[in-house]
Amino acid sequence: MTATDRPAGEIGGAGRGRTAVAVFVAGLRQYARTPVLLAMLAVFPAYLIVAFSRLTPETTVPLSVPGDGTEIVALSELYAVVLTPMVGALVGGLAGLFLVRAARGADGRLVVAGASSRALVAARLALVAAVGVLVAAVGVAAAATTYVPERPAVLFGATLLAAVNYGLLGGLAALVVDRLAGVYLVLFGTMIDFFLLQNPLADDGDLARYLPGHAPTELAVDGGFSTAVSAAPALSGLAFTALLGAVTVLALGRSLRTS
Amino acid sequence: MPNKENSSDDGPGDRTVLRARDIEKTYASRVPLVGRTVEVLDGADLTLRAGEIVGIVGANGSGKSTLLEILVGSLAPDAGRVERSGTVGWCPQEPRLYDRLTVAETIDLFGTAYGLSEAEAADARDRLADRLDFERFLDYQVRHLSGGNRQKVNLAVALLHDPDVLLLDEPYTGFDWETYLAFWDLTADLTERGTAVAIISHFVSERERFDRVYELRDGTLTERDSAAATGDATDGSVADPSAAAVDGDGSGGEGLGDADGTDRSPGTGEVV
Amino acid sequence: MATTGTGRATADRLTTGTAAHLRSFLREPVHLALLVAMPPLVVEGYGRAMSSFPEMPFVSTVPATLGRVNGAVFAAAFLAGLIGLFQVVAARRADDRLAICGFDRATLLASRLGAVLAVALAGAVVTFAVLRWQVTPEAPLVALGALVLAGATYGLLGILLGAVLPRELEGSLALVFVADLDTFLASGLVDVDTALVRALPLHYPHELFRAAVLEGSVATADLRGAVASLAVLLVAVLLVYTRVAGGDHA
Repeated sequence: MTATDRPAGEIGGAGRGRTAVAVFVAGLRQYARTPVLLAMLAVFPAYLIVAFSRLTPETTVPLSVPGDGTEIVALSELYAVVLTPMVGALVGGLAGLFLVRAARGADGRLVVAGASSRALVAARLALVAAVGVLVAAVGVAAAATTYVPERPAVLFGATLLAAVNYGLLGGLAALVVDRLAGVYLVLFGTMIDFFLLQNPLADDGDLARYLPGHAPTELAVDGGFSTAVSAAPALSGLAFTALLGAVTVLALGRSLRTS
Repeated sequence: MPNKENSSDDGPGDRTVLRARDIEKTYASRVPLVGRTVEVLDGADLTLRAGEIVGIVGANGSGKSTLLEILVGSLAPDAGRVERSGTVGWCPQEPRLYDRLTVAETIDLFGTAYGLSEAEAADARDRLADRLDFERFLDYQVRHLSGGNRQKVNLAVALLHDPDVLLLDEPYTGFDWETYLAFWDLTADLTERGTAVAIISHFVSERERFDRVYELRDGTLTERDSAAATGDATDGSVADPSAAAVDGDGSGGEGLGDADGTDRSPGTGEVV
Repeated sequence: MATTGTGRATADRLTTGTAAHLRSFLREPVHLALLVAMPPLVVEGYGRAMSSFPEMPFVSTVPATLGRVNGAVFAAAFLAGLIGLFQVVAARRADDRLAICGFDRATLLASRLGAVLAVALAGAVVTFAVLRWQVTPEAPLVALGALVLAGATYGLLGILLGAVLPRELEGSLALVFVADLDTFLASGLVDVDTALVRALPLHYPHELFRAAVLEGSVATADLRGAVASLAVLLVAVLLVYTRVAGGDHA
């Protein structure tokens, strides 16, 4: 007899790599088979980036660009650029929320069956990153219909960063609240962060710099309008993501082991 | 005691495959002063031996599902210890499956978790799909299955890896009559091979099938005579108007049937 | 099963039904949280976001104030739209059964609409209070009435949306978009005045609200337009509800 506090199957589980890949592929399938997630991938960019930027009044505004100083830019172009990471955050956040929430009971059972909780967590993080890549590509393409950024790759990176940050937060929210509450948290949370507090035309308040949207927005503005690279937003963004990632790994892992 | 010959009978060294001692569990409200605190288990002890079928009965809300989750390791007890030997298969009361995967994909995924090769998982899938009659649903997403079929898949996932211990929480909810009988055939085969099976059941008339029956009441488990008190519904299980058990092949006996001889599906109560 | 009752029995059923529907809605913690948190978030949020907008030639007020006005209309509309959506989702599940048990359909529908109106009222009051913190309406009672009208309009729209998309989550996401786009187009931020824009549900309530807040006036044409919108939506709701909650039973 083996005295153990661990779930029944974990001692004899499958290779972690194989499990992680299997769970990742299963997660992609679930994403592709969830119509509301796919719809958001199309609707958010179309509405928030394309339609909104095109309906913005025709006027110019002075903008402080991290690498380049102050420039005069068209308001519509500014919104096309700053709303792209916001869309990434929305889509990523909702994907993280939905996928973790939907899998909660089943993931625990998979661990009991022998899957390594670490492999499961790794697969979920990879899924968040994959969704981030997808929405970043769609978002930059949507923005480019209004305004072609100076450096599209940097805007892509900013959007990916936003999507991953909010994907992790969505996953964390899924552990605590139900889907409906989580949706509103992500929806209004991203709007407050990106649309209000990170608005480049407003004062850069103290609170804004500590929020997940800060680095992606700075990076997006840089990539949208600057010819010179400022590494600071990217570095601070990655540090923030690493910290958030660590918290998520701990929380998810804990929730999978035993309740 | 249909499986008595299968259970290990070596006296003091009989092969115990699962032992739980002094299990305690309380569900406390997350918000202070709001909601209820419920002490579900308060020093529960249980033993399973190879090759036997054990029933666990108790009133609704008595903590049976919680006990099973603790035995399998999905839930941590507040106190006490669970010792397990060998592999465990768990069939929870709600099908904890991925709604948007097909049945085949689900089995592949859990097969991977169990450490089965692709060929082994496929073989187990085909075998169980045939036995439990869900072959034609292999390409259906789980969310598109009826309740009964979903439960078949739920059970199949627990059986994939031929576990040494099977912990089943009301495994035949929604089963049609044929599948219900197939389930007991399958259980008989498993115990013959030495698998220990614990089933949470509400049906008093099934007590003849169990080697031993535990009753969960007031947070503790008491072993009851499996042949005792048919018609005693004080534990909350369904009383059977007829006294005899159902034979494994469905013949003879009156089983769950009404006095006029009609049979009813155990999961739905519908006349078969 | 046809059920006849005295006027008192009908009134009892109406009260019981309305209270039950309201309780169901408010016992979802997120709804309560939205009722309290959303108005300040949206009113101030829109205000701050628009404070960066330039003053536009076709808009006669400070952008930040316009933002708060827009936010108020959105908040009042969305909250009522949400309960409308939830009412029809619940109606699908249970109203047919309730009718078989003796709750006559007309009273059932009236109780659902009563719940929608109650939330529209509550949402309007909370939103108005938030707006009042930064903006002093010229005609406060009229402004409040316009918000209730916006809420009632979207409560009915929420019911129609729920009939098409009978899922709480997806429906409420769609409602956010619809309400946001409607508010934006009704706001006057975009210099467009077409028949299509005037036909949108929030066009007249928004005009009424803006005029009441900023000018202290009521344009009877706008009032007629808002009431006509409401009437059209009500007829649509009557037709939809009959379909959704099942036909008559003997």
